[in-house]
Amino acid sequence: MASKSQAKRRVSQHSERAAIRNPVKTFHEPIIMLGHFDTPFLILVLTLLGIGLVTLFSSSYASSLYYLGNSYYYILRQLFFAVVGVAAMLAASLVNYRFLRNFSWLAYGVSLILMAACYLFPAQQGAQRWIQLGPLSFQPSEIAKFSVILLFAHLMDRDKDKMGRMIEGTWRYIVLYGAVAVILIFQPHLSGTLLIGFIALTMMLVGGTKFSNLLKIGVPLLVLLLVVAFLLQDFILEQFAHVVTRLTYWLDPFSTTDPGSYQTRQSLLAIGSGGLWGVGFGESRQKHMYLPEVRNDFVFAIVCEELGFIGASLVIILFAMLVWRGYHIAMHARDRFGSLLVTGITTQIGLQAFLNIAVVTNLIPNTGISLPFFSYGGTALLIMLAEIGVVLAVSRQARHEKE
Amino acid sequence: MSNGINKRDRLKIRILSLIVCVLIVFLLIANLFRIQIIEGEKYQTMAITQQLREIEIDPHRGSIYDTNMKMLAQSATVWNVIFEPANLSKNEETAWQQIRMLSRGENLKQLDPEEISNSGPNDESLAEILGVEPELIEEKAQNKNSYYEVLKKRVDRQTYERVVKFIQDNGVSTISLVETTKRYYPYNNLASTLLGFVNDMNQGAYGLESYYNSVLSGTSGRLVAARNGLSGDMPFEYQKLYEGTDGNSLVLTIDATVQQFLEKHLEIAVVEHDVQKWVTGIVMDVNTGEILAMASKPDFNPNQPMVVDDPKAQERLTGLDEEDYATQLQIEQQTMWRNKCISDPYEPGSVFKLVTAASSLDTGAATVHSPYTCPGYQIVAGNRIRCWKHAGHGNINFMEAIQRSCNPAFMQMGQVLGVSNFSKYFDSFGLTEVTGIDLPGEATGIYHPEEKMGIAELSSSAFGQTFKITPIQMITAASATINGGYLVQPYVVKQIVDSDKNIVESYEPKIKRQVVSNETSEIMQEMGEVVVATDEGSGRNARIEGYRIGGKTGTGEKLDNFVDGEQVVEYVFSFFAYLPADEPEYAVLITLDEPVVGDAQSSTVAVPIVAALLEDIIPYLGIEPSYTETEEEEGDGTVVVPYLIDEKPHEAQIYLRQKGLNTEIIGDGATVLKQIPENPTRLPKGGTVILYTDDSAVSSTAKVPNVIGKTAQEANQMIINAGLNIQIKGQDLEGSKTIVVAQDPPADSNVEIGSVVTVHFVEPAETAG
Repeated sequence: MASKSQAKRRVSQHSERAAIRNPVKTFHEPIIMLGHFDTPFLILVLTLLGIGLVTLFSSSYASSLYYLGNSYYYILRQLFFAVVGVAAMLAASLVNYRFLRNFSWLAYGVSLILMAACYLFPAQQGAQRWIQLGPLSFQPSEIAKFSVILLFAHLMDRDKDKMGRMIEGTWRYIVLYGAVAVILIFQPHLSGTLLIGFIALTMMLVGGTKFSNLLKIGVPLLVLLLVVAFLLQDFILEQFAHVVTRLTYWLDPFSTTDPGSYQTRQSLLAIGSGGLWGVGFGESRQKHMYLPEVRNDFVFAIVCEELGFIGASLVIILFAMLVWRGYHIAMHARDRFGSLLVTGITTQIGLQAFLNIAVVTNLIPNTGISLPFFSYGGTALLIMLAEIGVVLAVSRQARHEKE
Repeated sequence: MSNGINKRDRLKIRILSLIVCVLIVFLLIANLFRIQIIEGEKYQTMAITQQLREIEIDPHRGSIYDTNMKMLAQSATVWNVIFEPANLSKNEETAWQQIRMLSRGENLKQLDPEEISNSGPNDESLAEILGVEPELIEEKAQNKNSYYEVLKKRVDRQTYERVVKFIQDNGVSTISLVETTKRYYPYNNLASTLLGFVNDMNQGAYGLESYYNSVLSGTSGRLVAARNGLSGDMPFEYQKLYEGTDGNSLVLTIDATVQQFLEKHLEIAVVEHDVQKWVTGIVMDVNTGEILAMASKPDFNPNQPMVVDDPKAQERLTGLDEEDYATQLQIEQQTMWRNKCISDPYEPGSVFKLVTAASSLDTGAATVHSPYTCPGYQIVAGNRIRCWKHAGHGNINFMEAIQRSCNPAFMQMGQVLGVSNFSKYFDSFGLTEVTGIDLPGEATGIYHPEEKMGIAELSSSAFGQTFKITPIQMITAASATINGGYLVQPYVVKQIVDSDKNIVESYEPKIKRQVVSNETSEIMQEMGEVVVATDEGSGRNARIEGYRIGGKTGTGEKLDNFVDGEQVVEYVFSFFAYLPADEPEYAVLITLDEPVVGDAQSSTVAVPIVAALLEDIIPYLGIEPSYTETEEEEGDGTVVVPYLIDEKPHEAQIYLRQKGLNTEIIGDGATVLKQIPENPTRLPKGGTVILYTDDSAVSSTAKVPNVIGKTAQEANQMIINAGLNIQIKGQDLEGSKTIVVAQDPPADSNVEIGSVVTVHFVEPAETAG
């Protein structure tokens, strides 16, 4: 029995090595993996999703009734994607995450193509970030986030011994990210570019890229960028005019009556109106056509107004707990690949939540980052829940501490 | 462990997790704390400021009643129809369909055959319901961001309900109805220059509406309500009402019936004498100053105060270019709105002689027997001033001077009175000050002040020339000469009542001062009566059998009338009358500014109008006859109806009055076109002759009552009540037992009013025998 199990382990070790060389052909592990997933993480996700859906309903109620004559329009669509998304999450959690690395290059390539394909579609609100397929539209950058995480995790695990090197440990990732960034920045999609940049940077630091190497490349690159920016300042100013104006509004949104700062002003009024306990669930006044696009990026302002400082803080703490638990799963992952994968996804959720709330509270300039589980957007929710499924899948194979 | 995670990796993740969590929790929550707790109040105030809208609620404007609580002006709820193009669909095509549905009635739902069965196609467009051009809606729709485009103001309840149904049937979301009030004057032109009207803001613009605006308008309420970002209603419950108070109502001294009589006769006067400027008329209680009626013609309809419908004014407006038209229109509107009784001074002429006479009597400068000489003129400061009677009045006394309205006699009288006394009394009679009537825009006159008055000014002023006063000043001064000597303050509002008609405030008559003594006043009463009651009197045409009436005629020469720089002499004809002459209760003053009358005198122009008015209001006011007719009955007590066709209506009335017949004028033409009964029908005295002055006036018909078997008295009453005249045939009427045995036309036939019903009497005994 013992020899048989030793033999099995040997086979398994052999196959792992083979997989690294040519993963697709030699993946011999079962594709479906059962086992206990991390229940606290799931509970946190479902709690946030529940609160998110209820808030979306409350915040979109007035404007959808007013503009579309149907107060259930947005919530029903979001509910549909939530149900499909939860199913996708559970399905994804059953898949052996190690199987995914077979598709890491494929996913990355497809993401680049899809993001580039956005240029074929007409601009919406001055940007070409969407692919429109019939009634559905989605942002390929949502998929790109996961693709980058997957590819980085795959490469950082496979070439973990080379992480200290300049080319394989640093340049490689900068170039991989750079390809994504170049496509995104001209859509223009600054927030997506920065978000993926943060995720990439985080994964590089955790994955073993030497900080000194990063500085060696990063500092000259930054200088170069500044020089180029200076030389092309007219072009840059034209291309990113909206960034500059957003920065002005950010510093003092009440100094101007310009429509550009209107959203931020209305958001602050909503949040401020909430006080300690809020005006009560469903009682928001600012959602009545004062706060524009209330169902999208600024849904958290309605949380603040209706549930007050207490309720809003609770939501922030829930996000913090989710992130904490996510990193906990990362630390106890069966392997480095899983750990990096979860680190990336968790960082994405945490960053998005942080940046969104920071925008809504005017801590940082207004940029289009949605709040996970809260903001309206079916495909984004679906992809997010699927990513959660991957985290759960990693948690199924967690190594338990042998204390 | 080669594939596992080493301690270093774990540490990195732990550091990462710490950073992210601390960032999230502390940075975000701290910022939230700043916004919501520390600065929360600031933002809350800003939010409330933008969310709450204060809506002013118009209070209900008070009504105006006549003395018998007849409604003269009231406010009704109406609606403004507001179009909100900003709520049109953002889809160009759908928006176009929505607009077409409003403007042309092309129903959206017709495009979807399934929906037609649910609600029938609506052929009527909103434009049709409102009576506006379809282009108006299509034009306003171009203001794509507007939430407030007025399609029509002040639609009534019926239209409101049709619009509401249209909105519901078609699911329209771009039309709203805003409640407001409209001022409604049920009698149209009646008392319009007195009442005035309200402007678009529901504020009084003229007349009583303006003078008593604060009483009528009340105080606004406020509704503080939450509004959404697009100014629509919010579904949540914050709404607070601060109630206003409704306006109080006015009860006037004006009697609508007397007012109607006055205006009817003024309207006829404008036409029959082709008056170039206007006519005014005032009926006043001489002892209290209460105004029973006050009017000037032409006037306007306060329901449509901008419309000028006087034919003379329209003539002046035709053929003008745009700019001149606008200027002229404004002038015409100002003129028709103005209450000429109080705002327009005129040359009073001989009516003023009452004031000179009373002053002279009161100071002792004259007695009833004072002698004057009239050679037909008077030399004053080297100028020859003529009497209206060029042949002269010869030697006359004080009474005859008044009776015949002799100018030289009054120049002499004035010279005796002297500048100082004349000016003192002029002032004392209130002619240098406003009367203080509770109406806006009262003017004072133009006169020679004492320090600038020489013999020439004194002499001309003494007979009412070379100065101007307003009709209201004239009637109060003239009343003071005959009411015991008291100058009263005229007024038109006797009570202010709240919406439940509880009295809030009452106005009492106010006597400003005693101007002349009771004795002087008593003499003046007689003097005025002589003017009417004697055949030499200039007011003889105002005689009405059974009543003691006093008065004074006037023909004022307008000295400031220039046409193209040339002085053109025009006249203001007037007549002041009071009754009963021995104990005056009511006074009437009528003026006609620039009538076209040839060389006629007031005795045939202004006097008949006053007489006609008195004939109407005496029975209405229930003034008791002062004496019974003592004139001998000639023959069978019947008279021949004279031929009156082509006569001026008020003149025709004089002839009938002299015959002892009553008159009813129908229509507003200048001459009599038809009379019933015709000449030479015989009518018993007291019968009524109907004069038609207007082709368009449809003759009214009456049903002949069945008088067979009735006594003479009963038959007479029934026939008169039916608006017909009686002619008696057969037995003489000594015995009261006679009854009617036959009548022609027969009972129940329809005849024109005023027609004669011939009845045949026999003694009942004979019939029985």
